Amino acid sequence: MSADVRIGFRGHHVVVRADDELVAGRIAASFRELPATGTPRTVERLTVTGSDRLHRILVEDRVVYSNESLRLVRRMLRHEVIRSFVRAHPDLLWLHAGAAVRDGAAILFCGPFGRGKSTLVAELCARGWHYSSDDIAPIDFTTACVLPFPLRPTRRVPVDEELPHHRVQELRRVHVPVDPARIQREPAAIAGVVLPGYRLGSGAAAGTVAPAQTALGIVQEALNASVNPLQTVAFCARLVSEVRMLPLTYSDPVAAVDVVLQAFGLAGGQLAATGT
Amino acid sequence: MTTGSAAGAPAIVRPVRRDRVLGCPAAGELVLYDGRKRQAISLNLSAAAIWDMCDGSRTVSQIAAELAELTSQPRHAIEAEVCAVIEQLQGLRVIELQSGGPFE
Repeated sequence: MSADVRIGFRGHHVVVRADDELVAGRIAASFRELPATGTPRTVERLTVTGSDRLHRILVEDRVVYSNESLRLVRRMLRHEVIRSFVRAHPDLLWLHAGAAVRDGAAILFCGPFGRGKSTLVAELCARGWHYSSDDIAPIDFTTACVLPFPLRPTRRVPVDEELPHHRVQELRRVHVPVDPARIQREPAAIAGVVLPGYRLGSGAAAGTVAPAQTALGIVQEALNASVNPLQTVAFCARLVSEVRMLPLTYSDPVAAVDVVLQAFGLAGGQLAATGT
Repeated sequence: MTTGSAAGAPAIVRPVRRDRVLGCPAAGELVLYDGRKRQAISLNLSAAAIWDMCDGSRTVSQIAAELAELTSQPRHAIEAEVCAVIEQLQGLRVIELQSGGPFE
């Protein structure tokens, strides 16, 4: 029995059809805050099909991924849904970043997987911030605002040993509960960008910014930099010029968020969005 | 910086930015984007200042002299850094060295 899941974002709909109800249920849960509503401008169909031996993901009629492990296929399906939105919206900078918002201004946590972005977003949300994104943050090139992309958040459970980067994905992930009333629904100006790095036993410490290197680092986290490379480079350079940047090494998320709020002048005060 | 000419006599060279390379300011520093190679490069503050002067009107010595004056540092100290940066930029093919033109 097949089940269709319809997901929508800014006029683009993704319709996922999966033979396996668990696959359909998981993808519906991941994207439940992005329901497909209204008449879409574009639609893309993803299909998950297969047997115990081999499972496949198709985008329209083209096989884009196959694996014996349904768990890996489920994980890849989530990526393929995101890729569909990335393809549909080259007008946005799709950044590998988590985002939390307060008073209409966003703090971004930008970096590759395993840096603790989700953990820091969750910690800010626990302090009353609104949840905007866990891992992927679309940014409007024109307004420089970050758009809500609130996939169901998860975070990795840390272990008491330093893992090499390639093994971080082995860590167990748990869902982070979010109050629906605390989910960000509107675009927000970017007030600061944190570039986190997890280091066991480091507590929390701010680093110094090398602006051009930082801009390049952000470019590397853009999912669609190859589509608009010049626009992406120029935008990231401008972002570094106009928005506060904070390299951060941490192991303690509570201390880390304290450092972030202190560095951005938000410890107990109101947030003033810089905007670009 | 000089290069050897065919006759063995040194020729004055003037570094000039390649047209296809765009400089994007980043808080005083610079990110270069090479449109043909689709490659981005970061320049720190001093390298960015040297890049700005690579407009084909100055020799390497003149760039060093101007920077020495701007930063109140001895010219000989600056010149080594300028030469190193120019060589790196040339290696990255974001500038080219034009020879000829009026001597200093």
